[in-house]
Amino acid sequence: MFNLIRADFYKINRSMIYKVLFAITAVSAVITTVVSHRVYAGEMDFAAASATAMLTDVVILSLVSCVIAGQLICGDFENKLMQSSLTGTSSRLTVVCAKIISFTALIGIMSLPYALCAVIGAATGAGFSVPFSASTYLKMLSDATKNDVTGGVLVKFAAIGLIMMLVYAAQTGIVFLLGFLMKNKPLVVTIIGFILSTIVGMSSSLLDDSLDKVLGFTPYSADIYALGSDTGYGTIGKIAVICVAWIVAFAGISYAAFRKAEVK
Amino acid sequence: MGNTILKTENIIKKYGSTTVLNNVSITLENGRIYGLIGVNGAGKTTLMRQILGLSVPDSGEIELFGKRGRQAAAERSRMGCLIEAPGLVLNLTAKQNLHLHRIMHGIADKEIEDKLLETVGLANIGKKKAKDFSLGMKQRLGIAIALLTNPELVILDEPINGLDPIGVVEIRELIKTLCEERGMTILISSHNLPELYQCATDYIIIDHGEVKQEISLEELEEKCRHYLLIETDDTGKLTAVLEEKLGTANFKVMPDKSVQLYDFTEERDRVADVLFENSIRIRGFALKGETLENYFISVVRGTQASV
Repeated sequence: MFNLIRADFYKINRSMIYKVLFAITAVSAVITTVVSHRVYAGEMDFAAASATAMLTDVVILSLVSCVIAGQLICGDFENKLMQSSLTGTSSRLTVVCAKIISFTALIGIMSLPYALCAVIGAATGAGFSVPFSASTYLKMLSDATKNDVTGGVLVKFAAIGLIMMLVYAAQTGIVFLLGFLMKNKPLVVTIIGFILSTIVGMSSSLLDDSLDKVLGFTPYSADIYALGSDTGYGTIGKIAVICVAWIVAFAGISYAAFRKAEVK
Repeated sequence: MGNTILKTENIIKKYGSTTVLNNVSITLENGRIYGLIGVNGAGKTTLMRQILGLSVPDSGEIELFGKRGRQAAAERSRMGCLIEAPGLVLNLTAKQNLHLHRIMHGIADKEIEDKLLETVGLANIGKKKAKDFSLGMKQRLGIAIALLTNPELVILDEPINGLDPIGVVEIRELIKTLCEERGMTILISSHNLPELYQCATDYIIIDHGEVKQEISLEELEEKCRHYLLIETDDTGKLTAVLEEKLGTANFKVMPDKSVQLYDFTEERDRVADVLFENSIRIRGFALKGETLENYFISVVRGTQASV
């Protein structure tokens, strides 16, 4: 499995698309951070700031994850590398496990610009507000503005940053599954995946209280977007467990779908 | 008889209501080159894909290196393959693609990349990316990838597709060398029997998902051998003349007393003259024997008895 992950990253290092995706997340992270600061400083009103709401981590990482799933999984079906993986020593389970690890790690890498902007923003001592709902990184910046940034708070922010990596991987688990179902159609997987994850994300915010409890056991829980310096480690741990369970469940379903599938 | 390294037993594969493989049973012995021959859609690629684990048969067993079931799956690391088109990342060079596959298979030997590129004639293409390769170059790189793990069984699906005539000869020689010098067993598919005839030691003829015939090169040559069929009432005198006047013993007297003469097939006039000069009364005199294509067609159409 380690060989397959290494091979994935060898390809990724030499692929332009991942560099473009990273550039998009980096630029988006900088813009949302600057906008957040300018709104706090009164240099920009909420209406103007809302124009950049599509650049928050929730939207961009959701989109980026769908593109990654399309490239990482369907790309291998398309260029027949999946064939090479299977005709070597790797079992189908190993292939699915390697892919989920590469996928989660890549999402982690892609979320780094948001985490870095949050850390740098907090370190500058500047003020930040949360002009967009459901942006965990901006929430962390806002918390840093309101409270003293102690060592304990920084550790918590680091933990939240790691958890968010799992959250985005878990939220796009359905795209991972789609990749194995649709095989060599990366663009279709990206589009359908993005539409599905957006619909699920939006519906989750519209559901009533009774369904909120159910959502609390999914990576779409409202707790996730309230993560901040005031969040207890118990909640952080619960979210981590839910996300890991969600990722494992989708890996399992993907394996079930792929176990006897034709590989062309 | 060598060791059996692959055995399929009654493999059945259906797609919907179409039976693509119907009770396919083949056996491969080590150190031989097997030509899997059939028309387009006969089931060649499907059979290879079952062997490689890229598709799962509906029923039947595959035994690899003496192992079955899950244990057989582990033995696939001893195989190399090129199915339809090679697994290439188009924005990588030939060496980078080999490097990628080397990482994937966990092979430590870095020098193998250059050696294989040399072997398949891609050593001097510099930094050209796979997307700029001709079909032939891609096939060569695919063969290099198939050989990366130094496999004991190599499965090549139409490997000389897209190669120029010189490339065809080079790959054919490479296949022979791999078999003779490294003892590799090779299963190579084609829809062109004369093409396979240049390198295969055994042939598996498949049609409509069924194995029609397994035949060795010697048996095939015997089947496709050209000869002069001479029919006479005095077979004894005829054979004496052939030996004394034409200096050949390369003939066979058949049960019906006709004689099959395997020499002088291109000098029929000379044979006729000698027989006439020696007053041998001839009832029949004709050039006989199948071409490879005709033989293949007769097997596929079921007009040829099995060996």
